[in-house]
Amino acid sequence: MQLHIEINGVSHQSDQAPGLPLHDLLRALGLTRSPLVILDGRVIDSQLCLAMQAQGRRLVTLEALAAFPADLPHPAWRLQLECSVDPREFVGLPGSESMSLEDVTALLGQLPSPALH
Amino acid sequence: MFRQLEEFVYPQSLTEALQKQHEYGEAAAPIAGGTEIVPDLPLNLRCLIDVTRLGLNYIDEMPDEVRIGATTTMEQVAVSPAVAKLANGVLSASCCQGWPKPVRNAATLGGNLVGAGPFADTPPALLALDAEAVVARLEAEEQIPLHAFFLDYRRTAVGQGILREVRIPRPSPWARGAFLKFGRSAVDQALVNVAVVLELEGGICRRVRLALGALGRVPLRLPEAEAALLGRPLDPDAIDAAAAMVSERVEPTIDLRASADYRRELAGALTRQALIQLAS
Repeated sequence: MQLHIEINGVSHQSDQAPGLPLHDLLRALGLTRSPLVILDGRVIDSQLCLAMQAQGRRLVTLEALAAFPADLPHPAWRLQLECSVDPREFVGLPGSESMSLEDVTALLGQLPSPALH
Repeated sequence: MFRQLEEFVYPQSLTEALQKQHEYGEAAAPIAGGTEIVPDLPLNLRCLIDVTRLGLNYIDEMPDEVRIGATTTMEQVAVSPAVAKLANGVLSASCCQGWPKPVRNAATLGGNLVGAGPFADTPPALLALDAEAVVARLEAEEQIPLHAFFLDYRRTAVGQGILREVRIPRPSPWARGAFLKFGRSAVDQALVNVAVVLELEGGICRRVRLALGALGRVPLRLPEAEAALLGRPLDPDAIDAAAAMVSERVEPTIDLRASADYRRELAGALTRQALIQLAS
């Protein structure tokens, strides 16, 4: 089946099986290690979702959030403001291949201090 | 990878969705958030019907009821001011408050009901609120009171149809409600959950709805325990009588997490706690 998703601002089109989990697709594309992604502005667990459910929607990975330009608010703030999610929810979900706290800290460490924004 | 799936469709209307469901019969199922069906995809399933693009995501306040679309997410229901006003938020409290937000953002009220998991939290709250389900069918729409909705373990009266919305009659201004869940942790499935909605007039219980979940194959109301409160003041004697009636009448199932005796004791204790909360 044809699948069309906008991932991190880039249009992605491919032929995929209807039963492919979203997380498997994103891992195969090498786009994220975290099961948690932002789909149309809402944080969801991509392991509980099929890729076909994201058809025609906009998806942002945690890694892409960290790469946002410095003139935008810090990702931690963006998560809280735009998605009403506590950034700590990105780690430690039972049974998931979550990013470790160290991964998240390192990712956020690449950015300017939130105090500057 | 779920290799049994052959088709994933995006109908433009409920009629189109129902026609596709009719074409595949029991080998088709609607999908919204996916949190209920994706982790446990039935082997006989060949077609999934995406119902998230049919305009079923809404919470409408009508003069005498609140209507919640089937694909409204648990998070939206949990934070809705309209839902919070119903018997001081008994349904809001049952919307999986302990779950991680990414799951609440995807899980829908419709999925929670149609999934008919015996440990689900919203069914007892909706039973206590006298809610009814509106099911779209090819031939006609059907309104099913929630007490007739759950037929057996993971089987509902929806059958070959699609749940469109849930209607909750507005309780009287004197109605008060409480929902309590007991599990190993907030994120765990309930060992027992209980919802109570009652109307107090001059301190006397006039209308009582008491529903429990996670005790058997389907959530249930306990009319005997409700009767133990009717026409009486909500005092310690009435509360004890109702709690004792609950422990006496429930027939809990046993699973790896709790024995029947433990669940029976817990059902009474949670009922007592909920009633004390309402009396205070």
